[in-house]
Amino acid sequence: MKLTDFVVPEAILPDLQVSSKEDAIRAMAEGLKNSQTIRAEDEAGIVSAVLKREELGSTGIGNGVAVPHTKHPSVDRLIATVALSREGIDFASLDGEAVYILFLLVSPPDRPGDHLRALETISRHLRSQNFCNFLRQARKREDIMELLKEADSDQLE
Amino acid sequence: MDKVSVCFPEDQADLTGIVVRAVVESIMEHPVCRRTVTVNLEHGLHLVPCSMIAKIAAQFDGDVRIHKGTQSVDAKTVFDLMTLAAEKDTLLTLEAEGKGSAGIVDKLAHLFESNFEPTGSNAP
Repeated sequence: MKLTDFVVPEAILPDLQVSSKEDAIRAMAEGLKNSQTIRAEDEAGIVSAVLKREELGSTGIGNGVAVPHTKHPSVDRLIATVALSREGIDFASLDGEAVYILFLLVSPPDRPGDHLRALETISRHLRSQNFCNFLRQARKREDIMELLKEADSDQLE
Repeated sequence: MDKVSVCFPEDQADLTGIVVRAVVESIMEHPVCRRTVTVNLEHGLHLVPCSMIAKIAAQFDGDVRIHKGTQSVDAKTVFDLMTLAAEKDTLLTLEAEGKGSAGIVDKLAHLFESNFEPTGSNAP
């Protein structure tokens, strides 16, 4: 599975300027709505589901990365967006540090395997300090997509 | 305990004895404990269970790894654990090396056996 298989380019937020975890999740869901990847009437439900998932445990998995996610019946395929925060956001992460790179993942409820593989794909690439450093330096949507493509073809190792 | 007979040249007996003692002491100080578990979670080993594993494994001083086939990951790192992408019914081998390895493997195995229920017994 490749990052570019499920990240929606038009929904990417290269300069997320929010101060809370909740606002970050809302902004990323809004990005998916504005790109017409999710319907306007489903946006609030998706945000609510993602926030509910956060109550089980923060998806801030360390290294400045957060992977908020949910399964939702409104989507029939795996979709994701990426957001970068210059200032860092308090995500109650496992390592206590702020997050600068966020991947929001929404998947259909009946395909748990796809959901797991997407999380595996994201984790595998975000383990790389190189990839994280390059991402944090990106300023434009196109640059971020280019980085995702390079990561998919293992050009950043 | 099984008996093992080893023959060494007489003139090297002392040195050999020292080496053997060192190896035995090393094994006793760094015992390795392994256990095979099954992922019973309907949606596989996703982020919440991986976080629970990492939290418990992090409290152990020695190495803790989880093997899936030929893949081997550091159980203290959520990033690494996520790369297992272990779906329901996947067999995993828990491995810990160091003093107290049996205890940490027990704790981790209990997580799997209890389906990662957030109970007091699964607290780190």
